[in-house]
Amino acid sequence: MDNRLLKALRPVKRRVRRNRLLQGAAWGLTAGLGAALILRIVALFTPVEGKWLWAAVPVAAFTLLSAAGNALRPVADRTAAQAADGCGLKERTITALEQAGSESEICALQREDACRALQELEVRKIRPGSARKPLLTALGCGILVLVLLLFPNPRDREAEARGALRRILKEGTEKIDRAAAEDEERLKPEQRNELRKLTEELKRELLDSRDETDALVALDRAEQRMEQMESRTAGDALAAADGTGTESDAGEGSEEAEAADGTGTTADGKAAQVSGNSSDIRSGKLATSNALAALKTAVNPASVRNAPRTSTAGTQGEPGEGEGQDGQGNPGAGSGSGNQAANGAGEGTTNLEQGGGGNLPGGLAKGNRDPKYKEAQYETIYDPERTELDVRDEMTNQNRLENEESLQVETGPGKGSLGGSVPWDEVFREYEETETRSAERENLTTKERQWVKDYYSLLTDQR
Amino acid sequence: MSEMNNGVKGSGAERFAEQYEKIRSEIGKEMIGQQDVVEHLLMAVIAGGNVLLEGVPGLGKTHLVRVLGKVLNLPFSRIQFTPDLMPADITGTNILVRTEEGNAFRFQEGPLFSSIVLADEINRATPKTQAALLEAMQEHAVTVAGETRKLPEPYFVLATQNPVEQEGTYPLPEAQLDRFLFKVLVPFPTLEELGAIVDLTVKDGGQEAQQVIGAEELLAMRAAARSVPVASAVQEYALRLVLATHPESADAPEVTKKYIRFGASPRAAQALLSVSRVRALAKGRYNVAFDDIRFAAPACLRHRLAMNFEAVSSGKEMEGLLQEIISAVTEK
Repeated sequence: MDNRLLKALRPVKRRVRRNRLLQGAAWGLTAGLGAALILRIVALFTPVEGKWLWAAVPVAAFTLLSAAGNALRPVADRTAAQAADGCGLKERTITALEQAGSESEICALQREDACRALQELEVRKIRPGSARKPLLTALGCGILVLVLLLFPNPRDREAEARGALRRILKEGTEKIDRAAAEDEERLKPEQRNELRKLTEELKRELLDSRDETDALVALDRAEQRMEQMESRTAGDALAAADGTGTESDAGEGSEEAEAADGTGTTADGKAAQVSGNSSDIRSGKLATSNALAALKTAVNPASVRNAPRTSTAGTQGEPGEGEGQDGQGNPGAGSGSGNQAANGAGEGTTNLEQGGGGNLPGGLAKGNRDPKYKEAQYETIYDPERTELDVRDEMTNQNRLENEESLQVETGPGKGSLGGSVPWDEVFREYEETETRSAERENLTTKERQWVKDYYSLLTDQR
Repeated sequence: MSEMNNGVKGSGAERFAEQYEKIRSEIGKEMIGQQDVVEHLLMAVIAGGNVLLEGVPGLGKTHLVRVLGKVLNLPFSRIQFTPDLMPADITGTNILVRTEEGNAFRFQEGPLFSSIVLADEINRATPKTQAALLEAMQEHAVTVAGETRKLPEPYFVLATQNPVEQEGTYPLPEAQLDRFLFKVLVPFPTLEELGAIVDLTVKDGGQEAQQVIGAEELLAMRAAARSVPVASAVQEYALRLVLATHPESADAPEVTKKYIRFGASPRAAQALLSVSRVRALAKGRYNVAFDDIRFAAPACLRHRLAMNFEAVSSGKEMEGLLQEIISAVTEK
């Protein structure tokens, strides 16, 4: 191979590489805009979050990749020779390359002629192939993409809501983490593990949530488990407070009592002392529980839809969104406006023990009233395990009950359904059965189990 | 890009271009216009091929051949083809001669025994006489009475035919047509050229063409042309062009399939490349370009293709079809 010829071909190769880069960029731009267009079309049927991002990323990625791929591809001698010949060298270069091994006089002359022609060649004349077609296609795709981006698309609003939900869930899970960390300090190792497991599972489920319904279901499940955990914790604390435990048990019990909710219980003096320590403990027992309730409020569909991009309102439990229990203790529906544990936290749980609405205005929280006033009162049930999810919206539309007579009539889809009103008697029975069963299942001492039974017996007597 | 004039001093190739230009300009002294015809004729002569000149009478076809002979300093003979012309009249024949030893047969060479043979109005002769030219044109030899005689080198036949007067003519058979390297159409001169021709005939002291080269130099030019390298892509282009004239070929363009009865022979490909080589050197290049092939293609192919009935009935002309075929074949 004649080195002179190869040397003369170098500028041509550089030019070809540059042209390939431009050509690649043009085709990449077309492909990118095409992909963006496809995504926009898909977004007409399926919510796609970050529409501007999904429009920009394929364009940038395809353009860069295509340009870089083209530019980095090695330029063959033959390709460079053809490019040079295309600029009026009349096949001198390609012939010289092919005849490189020939020693005949005419071939030597031909090589010399080709080298001279290459040296005289203005490489600027080597133009990239026509980019008219890809650029016109890109223009067409670009216009369509822009139109689809600016055109109001209901799926985009859906996607935005989903994004808002994700942000809320992220913030909420962070708060749950912090609350769990706080709680862990006060829990026994096995309870700590349980709490950790619970929060991990919850996080995983929230991460997998496709919409607020999924998130609410996950939160409800977690809340139920939290309630069970809290009841055990409270049981421990009460048992400790009862003085039935050993020396060490008593110590442990007093520790647990801090996390226990003494509100409306039959706790003795020790437990009462503990109950006075913190309103937090009284209302939700564990901070995690409060965080869960706050997140639940935030996940409310209405709040998700209206959530600003950096929404914290829901997690702060800011009032105004939902319908909480009113001053008369009438049942509210949906997410409440409570300070911390809004959304009627504790709904569907034992109203005496859980007392989710402990911080509700006027001290009229569920479960805080004397049991004798509970008769003929109604609990609003929100238990996903017993309700149809598609009737959840009825909860917010539920007319508030104005007087007790009217409460005799069940509204909504029926007992156990969202927004359905159930006589307190029935609810009490259910609670009693549930808790008694739970006490049987859990690893409790006989005394502790007896304590649960006594608790409901006492309430029954009072009725 | 304009053709570059290379600076290879003293090379045969550079002399080629110089000599070519000299011959052309020398012919131009006596031939007004017809530059394209002169160029084709000259290239065919250097390539060693026969040329069929087609044009109406009075366009200077015979004069052109005569001038060519003068410039190349080659023996020239002219045969006026008529229906009663016999093969022996052109090839020569054994005649009885009286010698000192007695009577003996001696071969009397016909007009074919000349370097440049002008076969004027070749289509007026009978096929038998036309066929007598075949061996001379292809093998540069003549066989008479079982004895083959070589014709002088360089040797080429320049035939003319009149496209208008078809009565009493015998169209050349395909086999004979194929032996012509080129079929050159001699166009009617333009107004300016016609004026110059008229002036030349009435004025005295017009320039006369002079000898530029001899037979040796012509053969050297032919040898130089044959050594010109051809890039594989260019050669493939020439071959694809020939294949594109065959209606049965898979790659044939639509125009071929529709209007061509049969395509060019392999001789057409040889002719394309040999003439392209000459043109490359004449233009100061040492390699064949796609342009050279395109230049040679119409003259190489037009007499080797036959239009079908559809083409004739729809008034198609070979020139138009050829241009379509050439433009349909890409360089790749």
